[in-house]
Parts: sequence; structure tokens; C-alpha cells
Amino acid sequence: MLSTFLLFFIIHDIQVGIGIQGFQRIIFLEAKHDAWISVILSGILTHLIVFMIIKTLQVYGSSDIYGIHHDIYGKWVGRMMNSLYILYCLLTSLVIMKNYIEVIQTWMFPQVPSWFFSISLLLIVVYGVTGGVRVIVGVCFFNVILSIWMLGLIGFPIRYFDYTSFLPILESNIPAILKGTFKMTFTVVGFEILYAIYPHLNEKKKVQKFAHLAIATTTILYLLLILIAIAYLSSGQLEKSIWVTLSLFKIVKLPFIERMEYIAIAFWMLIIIPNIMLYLWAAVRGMNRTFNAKEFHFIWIFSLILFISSLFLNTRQKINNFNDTFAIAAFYLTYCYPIILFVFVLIKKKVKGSKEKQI
Amino acid sequence: MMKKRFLAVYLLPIFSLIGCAQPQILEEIGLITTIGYDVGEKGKINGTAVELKIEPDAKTDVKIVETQAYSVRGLNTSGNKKTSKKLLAGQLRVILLGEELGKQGMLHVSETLTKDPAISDLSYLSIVEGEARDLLNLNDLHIPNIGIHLYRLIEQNTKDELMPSATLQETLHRYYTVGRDPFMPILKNIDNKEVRYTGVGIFKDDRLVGRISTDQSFYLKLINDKYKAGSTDLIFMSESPKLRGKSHVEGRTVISLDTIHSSSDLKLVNETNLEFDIKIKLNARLIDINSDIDLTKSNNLKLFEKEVSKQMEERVENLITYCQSKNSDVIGLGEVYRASVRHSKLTDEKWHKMYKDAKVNVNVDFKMMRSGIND
Repeated sequence: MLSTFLLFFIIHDIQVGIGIQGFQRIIFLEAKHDAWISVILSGILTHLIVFMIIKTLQVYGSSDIYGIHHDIYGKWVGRMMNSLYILYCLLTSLVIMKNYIEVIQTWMFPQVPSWFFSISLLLIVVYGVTGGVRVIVGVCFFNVILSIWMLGLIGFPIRYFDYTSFLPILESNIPAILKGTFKMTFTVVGFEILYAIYPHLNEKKKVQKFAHLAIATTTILYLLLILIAIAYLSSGQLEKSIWVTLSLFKIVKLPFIERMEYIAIAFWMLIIIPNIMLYLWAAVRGMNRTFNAKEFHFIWIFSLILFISSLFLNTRQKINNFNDTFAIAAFYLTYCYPIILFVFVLIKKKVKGSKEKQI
Repeated sequence: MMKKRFLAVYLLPIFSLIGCAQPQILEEIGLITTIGYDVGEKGKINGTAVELKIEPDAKTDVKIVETQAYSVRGLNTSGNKKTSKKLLAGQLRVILLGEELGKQGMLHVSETLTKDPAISDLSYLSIVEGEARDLLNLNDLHIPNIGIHLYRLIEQNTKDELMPSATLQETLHRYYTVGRDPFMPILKNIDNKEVRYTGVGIFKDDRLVGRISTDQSFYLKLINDKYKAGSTDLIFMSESPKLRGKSHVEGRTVISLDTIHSSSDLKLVNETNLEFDIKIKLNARLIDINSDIDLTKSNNLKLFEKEVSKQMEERVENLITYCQSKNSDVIGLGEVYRASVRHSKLTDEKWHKMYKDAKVNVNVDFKMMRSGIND
């Protein structure tokens, strides 16, 4: 059992993963200088979805998504849905890992092969996941605490602000802003981990509070980053840089260290690792719950799968396409599916309730 | 227990291997601190790099490496063929562009440079009157390291707000903003003895189209940025006999201002017949005046302030007229237009057509705050 307040760190850490390094451009391409409105909207939407996810889970008291699927769809369809969810978790791990490796290779070590990074990352991840959920959550907690200093780096670009970039407000039309919100998916996903972690939390009453707190924190962070990006970079620059957040750090210069973003990138591993751990754990846990498979074996099997598939994603273009496809899938799975599941659960509950009354 | 040992066996070699990623030992690399680009033969670019050597026995610790290549990145490769140490640009501080290259367009140079994660966005850009290579080959005993000298010169002047700041980030920002054009300070090698800041080059898109003097750059900064503690000399002819300078034959009045605090406000007042209002507020300390005027009298002070405001207005107007004649919008009027007109769909091209005929009203409000410790 985990203290419920740790949920704040779990959700915040898993949301702030790889997307934060460059989400500004993707949103800006759609909504132009109103991109920050998209971010706010995406935050509100996430709050609603999370509210629904928790309501769904509360109906069952102490089950995870795998149990709920089993209950609602029956054995076979339930298994299929569970497999889908496991696949999603694995894909997310892959996306996170591959994008991070891409960043290290572009900014720091262009010569080091990517299999080397995947092996090193995966071994650490495996090490954590074998330790169980308590270890993973511990890593999350410390990593959030230890990366707070990075917020200080945001202050440097403020000197070069150009406030006219925001004007005129609401110039782009509503569909464009909504499209921007849609594109935020890749950056905000992570909260669906609630589906898997929920049974492990000790005080179910407080889940709502800490989950929403975490999402609000993430939204504020994203809002801050997009405001800075729009004011600091001009439109042409924004449309060209792949990792805008890291580019913002490019001007940080301290007396004892010339280029801070190198440290930031290396430090990012602390944020990345628990993310991969959590997703891998959710996948392995799903195998155990659905097929009664041994968790320890599947940690290694899944890592191997991740490693092999990471070898195929080797160019910027491929990674980009993969990200885009993944983002669309993630949108349906994390934003649309919880609503459907919620409705199903409500109907099931009603039917069951009325049946019980008849008896 | 078994599990843990199993992992340790695999993890240890991996972690020790991480240390093997390209070590860069200071003694084995040549750090480029300054680089100059010129137009070379047959479409090539001529690059001149100042390489900082870490070699205790050498007489001078810098070496000038000059190479030609078709691309900016190619210069690095061909530069390496000439040096015993690997050239790296992680410490690049100053980027110089020859006048001719500036006229042909500077975009590809600055773009390639920002693409490289090793190059800081805070590197200074500057135009060189003549060729950049001549400036870097300057041979004077008192300047043992031209790279650091240039960097300090630019940094010092930018901090004192004598020179408009043109870092890589700022220049590209101006270039990529719709309705704004970049500018860069101009440096010149004078008689192979000194480097001097001689003016500011103004651009249309990415092409150098004209230049303004260092005095005029004060007004450029006055419109563009906030002054926090700049200083300037103002020489003017006043019609009022009270203000006329005594010692000068032509009756010129010279005043020296210091600790200038200013703010400016640009506004679009007429959309259809493009018209802008520029309001500048300026507070400063008067440290020198060569006229006998008694500024303790409030009447005289008012006259003085009014006269200075008028003179400044005239100069700002001149500056704008000049920029308009070169079709270079370094002030960013286009951005003001874009920000105030909804759905304007402004492009740089469209703006350059409109900009020429824009009318600009300038209003300067000068206030003398104090005048030193003696009246």
C-alpha cells in the first residue's frame, strides 16, 4: 500500500516526460500565438477525464482497469481489451525511451550508438521494476523533488521577452485552437496510470484531491513554458526548433558553467526513467492480472521487445511519424475511452442494482 | 539475492562503459573563440577562425586558421585539415560577417550556427567594414588575443548600452518576426592598430542594406528598448540665444547626458493610411553643457528641456526616414501593425511594400533629473 499523497508525484512525473521538451512547436503550428489557450483547454479537459476515471474506479472500490474490463466485457473480450491496454503501455515506454535517446544523440553524444543507450536505460528500468511498485514510486518522488531546480532555468529567457508576440489575442480561430488542444495529447498523457495504480493507494478518498493537484501543477508548468516560448522566440524560430524547452535553456550561462542545457538534458534521465518504469510495470501487471503470467519473466521479455523495436526507430523522420501516430492512438485511448468505460460501468451498475432489487 | 547479483553483473560494465563516450581533453582540442565569414572565390565562403591553443610553450596562445569551403559546416572540416588539434566551437563568442557577405544575406550562416547545439545563442554577431579576415589578422602587440579582445569590446559596449545588442538569438528573433528587420553593430580595423565600433548595419530581411552612425544607434535603442543607464552626447544648434554655446564659433550647444532612463511606446493610429505614433519618455542626468544658461530658473529649464526634446525628435525622425528609404524596418513598426490589426495576415513582403509610405509622428518628452553635485 502506498500513501495517497504520493499519487501527486506519480502523476506529475509521468506527465512531465518527453513531450515537455518540444511540445510548444507542435501546438504553435496549429494555434499560432494563441497556443497558450490550447494548453489551458487541454488542462481543463484532462481534469474532466481524470474525474471520470476516478469515478469509474470508485464504483469498483479496489480494482484496476484489468479487473474492470474483465467484469464488463466478460472473459474473452476483456482479455482482448487488456492486451490492448498492455500494448499501449509498451508503446508509451518505447516512445519515451526513443525520444529521449534522440535528444541525447542530437545534443550531446552524436557518435554513441542508440542501442547502447537503450540497453543502459532498460537495465535500470528492469532493476526498478523488479523492485516492485514501492521502489518505482520512491524513484518518482525523489525525481520530482530533485528536478525542481530546473524551474530556475526558465527565468533566464525572461530578459528577452517580447510581449507583442501575444497580440492580438484570439486571432486564430476556434478550430485551430482545439486542434492545438488535440495535439497536446502527446504531452499530457500519463494520468491514465491511475487505472493501474489505484488499487495500491491506501486512502481512496483522497485520490481525487491529489490527482487533480498533480494535473493542475502540470498544466501550470506547461502554460508557463508555452508563454515563455512564444514571448522569447519569434514565430519562425518556434516553427523550426524541435526541442523548444531545451532551446530556451540554450542561453543559460552561469559563472561556473557555460552551458546549462547539457546538465539539464543529462538530468532529464531522472524524469524519464520512472516514466518507463511505471508503464512497464503497468504492462507487466496487466499480464499478471489477465493471463496469470509471472511478472518477473515478463519484465525481461517486454524489455527485450522494447529493445528490439527501438532498433527499428532510427531516424528523426521515423520517430516523428511514430510520435504522430502514437499521439492519435493515445488520444482515443486516454481521452475518449475513459468516457465510454465510465458509461459502461454506470450502465452495468444500474442493471446490477435493479436485478438485485428484483430478487 | 540471486536477482541482485545478476543485475549487478550486467549493470557494472555498462556504467563503466558510459565513461568511454568521446572524451574531450583540453590539451587536444583547439577552441574557436571567434569566427569570421567572408565571401570567397567561386561561391565559396571564406572562414577565418581564431583558435585558442592550450600550449604552455607557445609564444602566443592564439592561431588564425583560414579556410574556404562551400558551406559553413564545411569550413570546420577543412579547418581541421590544417590544425593539429580538433577544432571545436563550443566556446564561440563572436561571429563576424564581412560586409560583402552581409549584403548577400546572412541567414544561412546564422541558421547553421544555431542548429549546432554546441554553439551558444548568446554569441555576438557583428558586421565588419571590409573583410572579416583583415580584422582578425590585426597585428598589434597590445592585442595578444584578438578573439577575447573583440568579445570584451562588444560585451562592454553592449552592457553600457552604447552598442545595440545583436546576439545570435536576438538577430534570428528579429529576422523571423514578421514586420521587423535585424541590425548589427559594425566594427572596423583601423590602420591595423585598433578595432573600432563605427556604426550599425541595418538589414532588409537578411541583407545588409544600409548603415547608421553610432550616434544614431542611440535613437534606435531609444525606440526599441528601455534604457536603464546609457549615456550620450548631444550636439545641436539652438535658435534660442539663451542656449547658444558660448565658446563655439558656430554657436553649437553640446550637452552630455548620463544615467538615461527611457521608455517608448509605439502605437498604430491609422490603419488605412498607415500612421504611427512614437512616444518616448526620457529621464537623464545632465553632466555637461557648454552654455551659460542658468538652469536653476524654472523658465530656463523648461526652455532647455523643450529644446532638447525637439532636437531628439528631429533625429529620431531622420533615423526613421533613412530606414524607410532603405526599406529596413529595424524599429519593428510592422510588428506593432501585426499586433494591432486583427487578421492582417502580414508577411514580410507585404510589410515592406507598406512600410515605405508609413507616416510616423515622433514625440519625445525629455526631463532633466539632476545635474551632478554642483549647479
